[in-house]
Amino acid sequence: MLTINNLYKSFGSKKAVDNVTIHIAPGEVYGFIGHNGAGKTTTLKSVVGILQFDEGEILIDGMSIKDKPIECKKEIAYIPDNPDLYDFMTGIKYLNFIADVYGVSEKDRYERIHKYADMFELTSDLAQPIAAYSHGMKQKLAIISAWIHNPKLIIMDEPFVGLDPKAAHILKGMMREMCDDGGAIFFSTHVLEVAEKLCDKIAIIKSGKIIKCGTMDEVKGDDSLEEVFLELVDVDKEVKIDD
Amino acid sequence: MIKTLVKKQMAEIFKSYFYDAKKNKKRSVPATVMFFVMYAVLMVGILGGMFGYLCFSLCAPLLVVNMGWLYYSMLALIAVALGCFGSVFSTYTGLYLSKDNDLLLSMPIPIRSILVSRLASVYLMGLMYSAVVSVPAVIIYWINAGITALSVIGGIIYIIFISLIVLTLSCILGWAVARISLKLKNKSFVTVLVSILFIVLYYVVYFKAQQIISDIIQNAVVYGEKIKGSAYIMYAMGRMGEGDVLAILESIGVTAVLLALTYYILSSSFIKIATSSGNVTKTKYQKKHLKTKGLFGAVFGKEMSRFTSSPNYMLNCGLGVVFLPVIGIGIIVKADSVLNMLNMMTDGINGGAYVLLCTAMIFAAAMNDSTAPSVSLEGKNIWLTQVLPVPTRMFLQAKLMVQLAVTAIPVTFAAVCIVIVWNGTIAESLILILTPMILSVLFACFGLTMALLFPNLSWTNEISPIKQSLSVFVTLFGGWAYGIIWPVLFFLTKWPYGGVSFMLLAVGVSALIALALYIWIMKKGEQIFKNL
Repeated sequence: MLTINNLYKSFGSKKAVDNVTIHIAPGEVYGFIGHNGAGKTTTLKSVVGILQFDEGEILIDGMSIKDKPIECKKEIAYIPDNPDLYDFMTGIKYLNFIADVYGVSEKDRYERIHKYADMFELTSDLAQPIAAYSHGMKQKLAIISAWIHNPKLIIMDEPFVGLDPKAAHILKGMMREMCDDGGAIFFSTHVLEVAEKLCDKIAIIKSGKIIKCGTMDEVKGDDSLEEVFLELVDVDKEVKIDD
Repeated sequence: MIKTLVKKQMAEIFKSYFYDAKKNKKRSVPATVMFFVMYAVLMVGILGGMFGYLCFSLCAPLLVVNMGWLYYSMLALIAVALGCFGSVFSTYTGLYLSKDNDLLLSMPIPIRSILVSRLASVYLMGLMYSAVVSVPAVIIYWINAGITALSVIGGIIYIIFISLIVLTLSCILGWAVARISLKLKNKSFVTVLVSILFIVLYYVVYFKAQQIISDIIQNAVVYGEKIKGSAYIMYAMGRMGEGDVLAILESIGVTAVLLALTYYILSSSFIKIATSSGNVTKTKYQKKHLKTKGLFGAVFGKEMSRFTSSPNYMLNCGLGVVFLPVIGIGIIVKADSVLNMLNMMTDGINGGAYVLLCTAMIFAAAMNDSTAPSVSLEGKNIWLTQVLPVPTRMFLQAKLMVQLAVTAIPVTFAAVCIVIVWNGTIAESLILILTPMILSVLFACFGLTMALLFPNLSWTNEISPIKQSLSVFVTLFGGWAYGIIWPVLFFLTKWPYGGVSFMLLAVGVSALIALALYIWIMKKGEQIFKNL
């Protein structure tokens, strides 16, 4: 579903992403963890076409995001770390706009908008301007808009930030359900417990490089994900101290 | 602290002058200097030149009857009106509705520092508008009356005094708008309506100005005595410009009191207004049938929603929607006077009156400039245009289409009114209608080109991209300058083939420029927008 091969991206002299390779198959929930500034958001933004990368290849359902950006974008949805949506629209207008852009039929959009809005208890607020929404409400709206066109792949940057426990629980269920139906999810998170319980595969990124990836069992073995993550991150630190 | 905040405010306003968003780096010093020089030339050259001419015609006759103070008083009124007109409707947004309210209020920053830094922005806007009258007024006075130490001091204080009065009035009116706005339901609609009424009033006075000025010049002594008796502050303002020490002291005193009072009113209510969500009644959503649109319809609808959701955007970039029909009807009502005036101005030059009429249509087409701030207004939402499966050029085409959609009907209406008044040949009528149409396309493309060349996505107040950005400035004054070029060329070259052939040439050249700009937008502009 998603193939990232030897991805490089620099900002000036700083290498933000350094030879990243990740393969995500249909049905997989793929977690992406790392320090702040490790290169998670840069990788995700490159995948969805916001950032132009320097080298490498990104294929979505076999198509290159560089060569066929529109076709690729039709297959995916993206939820950024900070849901800056169109403040001048109401919630329902925004969802309708997104549905129009993806060409969702009248029947499907009606069903999906109301199904997910009811699940997140956002229905009664849909007539309000987005400017009046709290961060959590905007996040819920961004999630509904991501699911509205039934994408094959959803890319999410810290999707649980700002959500109340109930909404976070619902989102986890939606993620699992989508992958069970053959879709795929690639998301970054700092909440290691969530990643451990939810993900089929995981990649740990540090200073732009993937330092470990694979199935959850391959990555953590008998330890907890937190222990493995901290150990991997600290190895380098110890070396530097020794040096 | 105040210095830091003022620096931040100024950085926001002048960001495009110092920073090249396209190349993501600081501009070179010569490039920055060039932008400021261009700004000064356009501002002083066009608006300053217009008011300079007015000053020139007023100053000498009033000095002859020893009424130099009346000259200064009259121009002070015009400067204050222009200054307030230019900034009053953005003062409310500028003072209270910044996106960084929460951030600043959560930090250990005294409220007065936030307020003063925002007042600095309001002051700058007021100064920018009032100075195009007050500076030529003072210079022309010095030329006519001669320069003395006192007249120089008086003149400088006069310019500062006017800008401070503008600040005071803008703030008081902005505060009143804020108070009313908190109680309104349909804020955008009411704000636009009230603003338009204010602007109509302004133009009624403006169009009567020539008559009023002639009347005052003829009866200067009588009016002078009346003003001295009933509006002493006006008299003092005039005397101050002439360098009268007592008047200077009185004016400084009055300004200080007014400023202190304004500051007191604003500071005592700032937090309440800035943090109030207003009298918003929550509309509960009822599940209903959802209308579908095609891809371009959706993108166009989004752009149109952006335009109609903001009173600032509509007032600053879409006034032509209201004014073009008014101009059209006005020309029909005053048909004889307009034609006589045109013939008188052109002194019977073959086709001169016709060229001037077409020029008026060029200016009419330049009244709307919604494309100019449209790229910057994407702000933090720019990511949406990058992740949605929409060809980038479609977002740009939608921005063009919004300006054309809001301009097409009113400008055509105005053109048809002019065709009726002119009552010329079929060719003349066709060109009269074609001119504003082609020019509307040209100005929409020009505005979008400037928007792509000078984007500012990191604003905290929408006034920055709408009113204070380089793209809007260049588009507005560039449009006016373009409108002036054609009649100047016609009269300078003494074009021998008549007005229709000249305007055909003008329309043809304009169409070619519009086409070139459109091609640039679709190729280079698309890449710029993609990489923002």
